[in-house]
Amino acid sequence: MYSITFHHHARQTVLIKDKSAMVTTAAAADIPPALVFNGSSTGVPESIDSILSSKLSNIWLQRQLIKGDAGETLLMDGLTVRLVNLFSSTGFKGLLIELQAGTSNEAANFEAKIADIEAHLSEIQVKDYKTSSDSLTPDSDNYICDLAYQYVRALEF
Amino acid sequence: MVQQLSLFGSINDDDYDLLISTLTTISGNPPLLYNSLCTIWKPNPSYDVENVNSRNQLVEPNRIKLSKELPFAYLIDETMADKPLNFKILKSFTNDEISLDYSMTKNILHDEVPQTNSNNSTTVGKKDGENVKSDVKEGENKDDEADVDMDATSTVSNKSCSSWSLQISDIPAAGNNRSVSMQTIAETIILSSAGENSSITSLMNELGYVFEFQYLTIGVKFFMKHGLILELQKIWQIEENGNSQITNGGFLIKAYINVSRGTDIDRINYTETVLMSLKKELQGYIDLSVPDRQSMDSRVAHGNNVI
Repeated sequence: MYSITFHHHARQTVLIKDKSAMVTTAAAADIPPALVFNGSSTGVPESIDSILSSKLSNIWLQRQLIKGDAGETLLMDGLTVRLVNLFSSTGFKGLLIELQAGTSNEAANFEAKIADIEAHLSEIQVKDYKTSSDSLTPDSDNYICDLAYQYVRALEF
Repeated sequence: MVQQLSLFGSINDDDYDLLISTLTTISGNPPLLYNSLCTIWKPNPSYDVENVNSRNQLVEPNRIKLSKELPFAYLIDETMADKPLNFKILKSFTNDEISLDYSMTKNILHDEVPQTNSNNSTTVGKKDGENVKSDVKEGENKDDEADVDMDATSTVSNKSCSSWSLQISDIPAAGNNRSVSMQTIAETIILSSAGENSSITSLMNELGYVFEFQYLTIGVKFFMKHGLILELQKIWQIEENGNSQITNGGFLIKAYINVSRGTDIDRINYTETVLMSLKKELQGYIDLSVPDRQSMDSRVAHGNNVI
């Protein structure tokens, strides 16, 4: 099971196990109002990670923590590019690059742009990289779950 | 982790109207109708999990409570459909009968909710009286279609689950001379899901938990000063072999305040005073008291007959 917290997506945490994903939030502002109104929620949530590492720590054990700090976001050529260096407790894990097409027009050329980038990479003799454009839900669209799944796929060493 | 300070009491069905008008006067707010479906999950008994974690700390297996609101259309039958959806409707629920049945909750837990169940109707705040009414009008039609859907053979669904609140509660604080019940609650919010087998049941199974039992609460609540919330509840256990109302003949009264940080001693003390003054104000009328903490213990090894 993987747990990915996106600080650039309202601190939502996606839990992924096998091919299913669950989106959770620890932000009070993101709780559906109906859940607070009927008393289901106290209005003060915490992250699923802290619940897993406290109340469920007899079932779940955290094996590894990979963290990306101080990343950069660039807008170029119709792409939103996010770059961050990843570290685990044992040291540098690699450079993570997230590429996102902006408008739907730009999305049409997305594949071509990726191919361009890959061509550049092979030009400068970089072969040790992994890309993922997988989707958890081919038929429906859950952006943050797909993104988390791509992170997992790209980071599975 | 939230600290919930609470007091409980009960009244008979006959005293309901008078209590409503008393509380409306005290709180200065009208009663608001609400409902919640609570489902309780326990660690999968087929897994042999130790009660000790990797740091050799004792972790007692706890039940998980998943709860959410339901569209009122699921809860009212034809005879109530034309009544306005306000506190008076609770007087119609005097026995075990409730429209919600086990197969409907099963569909909800497997996210095979009828397509006609628009997410809008479940997520809009029901604080607004008008909202509630328009909800029901839409709901009436849906209810019929819902029945049709339910009969259709269920197929494996990859439908995303809707939002749930996931809570794990500690046993209330011990001590003989406690004036209020104080319970620590850890909570997170499940917003949605995706992928294969993404129903809430599958997700809980993946976490290592299985369904144990469920109950439905319909009630009215008053928002009072100092964050105090007072609820009058009717509770049904929803089981495969029929529903039973636990609060038959009366209402459970719960008065509570949530304190967002357990370390905020000043706030906790203050909150205790607020609850005690409510108790004093209602003295001789309703007896608000501290429940047996054992009955609010959600650990698996203890209190296996919670209800």
